[in-house]
Amino acid sequence: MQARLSHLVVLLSSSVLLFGCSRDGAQASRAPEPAAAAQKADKPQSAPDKGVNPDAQLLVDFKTRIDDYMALHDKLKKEAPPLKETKDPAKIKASQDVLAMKIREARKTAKQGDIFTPEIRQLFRRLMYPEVKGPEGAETKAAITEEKRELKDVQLKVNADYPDSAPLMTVPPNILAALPKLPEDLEYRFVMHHMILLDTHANLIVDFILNAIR
Amino acid sequence: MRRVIATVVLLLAFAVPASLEERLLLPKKDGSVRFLVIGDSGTGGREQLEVAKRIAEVYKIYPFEFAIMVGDNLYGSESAGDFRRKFEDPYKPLLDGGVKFYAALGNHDDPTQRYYKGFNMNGEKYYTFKAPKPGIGLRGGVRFFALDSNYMNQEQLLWLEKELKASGSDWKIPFFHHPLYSSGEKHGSDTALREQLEPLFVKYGVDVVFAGHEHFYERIKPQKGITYFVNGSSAKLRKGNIGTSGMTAKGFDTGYAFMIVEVAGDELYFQTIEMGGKTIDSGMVKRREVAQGTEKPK
Repeated sequence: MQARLSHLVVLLSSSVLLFGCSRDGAQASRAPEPAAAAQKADKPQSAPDKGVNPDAQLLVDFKTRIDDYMALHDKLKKEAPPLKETKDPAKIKASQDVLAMKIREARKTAKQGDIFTPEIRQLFRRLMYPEVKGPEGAETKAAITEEKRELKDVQLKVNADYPDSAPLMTVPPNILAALPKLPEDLEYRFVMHHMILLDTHANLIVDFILNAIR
Repeated sequence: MRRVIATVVLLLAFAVPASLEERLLLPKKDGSVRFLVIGDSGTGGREQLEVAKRIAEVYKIYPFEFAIMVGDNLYGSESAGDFRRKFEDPYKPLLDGGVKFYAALGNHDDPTQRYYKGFNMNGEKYYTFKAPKPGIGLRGGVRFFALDSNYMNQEQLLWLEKELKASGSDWKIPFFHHPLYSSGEKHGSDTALREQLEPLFVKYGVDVVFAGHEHFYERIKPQKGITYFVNGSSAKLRKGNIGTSGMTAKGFDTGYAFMIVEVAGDELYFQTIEMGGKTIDSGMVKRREVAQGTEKPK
């Protein structure tokens, strides 16, 4: 675990360094992904810059996309009823529903891959693979996929609600330790072998990775 | 003839069920900390209501001050009506009596439940609180740590270590949804979570842990000195699901259950009661620092 964490820290440190100097590069790689290409087993769209840790570059790109999403989320949150402690659960639901509606409206053209680009998807699969491979990873994999039957109502679609009827699968701590940290209102979640990026305030699927674990 | 009459009288005496009060096994010591533990409770179904009714009866003769909920506080939809049907109505007698509920998030709970005042989470997915009174003979009191076992990230682990280290409490009691140890055939022990949490529990002198998720009751034989309770059958039941792990000190998977707990000084007493009112487990856990002689009893 320590070794894995150190690896991620090194990657993230490189990302932070890169963040200051290669923002243009990151922006450039955010051109809309061709739909057909996205389905071709998530093959990378562009070669990484020479001399730069390609994983670190991808993490910078991921962070930028997350920051952009959160900027929108925070802006729209101000227009929705505040989510604060209340005796009235209807106010919680109203805050959630209004924010979801506003995000859907603002991101009506959003599609799979806007955040998890093919390159980022490959990186995430690679980061998680050591945790789920072989007999050692069997328990982690089992924990992720154990409630299969109850997840049948989850629609893997950008901007879809996460259904009330489905449990939120636990994300094992070793998986979380292997992935980049997210802001408070976003969480990684699994729907069987697929990973979703969930906006927990809006209860909305922001993006997803098909077959994130094998 | 006399012998026959005596036998009949004796049989009748045993046949008359003892009142709930007579069956109460907790010491009811003055100044003790008393609380209720329920898990996987929020169905709004008949079983939840029946268990809640029994809890209310117990509350009349054994008034506890607060309750901890080990997750799956609301199954399915979470409208205002659901909060009423799955929480406020079933536990109305307790809420009216001033019992405070402290919830941990389960895998069926929307994380926004933390904003619901009735769950006393202060808008946090994980949090800590101190029992309202210090407890007899205790200097540091009793502190609870409600964890979000659905999402045990580094921030939460760091927070937990900081809070455990700084707590200065005599009793440190974590509660959360996924059990670190369980003999359940459906889920079983969450070993990945155990790898992260157990070292902290051992290091900072945790004695007792409460979890749910498994729809039965199980008391695990002490593991590294810690007693683990699994109590996820306050409205849901997975009959016959306790397997033979060798870890079970006491198991009950044929009915619905809840726990009442009393901390009196260095001793924690527990009683687990099933829906019909029968006691299915009871006992006492002694604080390890005292039991091992590393700290003098007060």
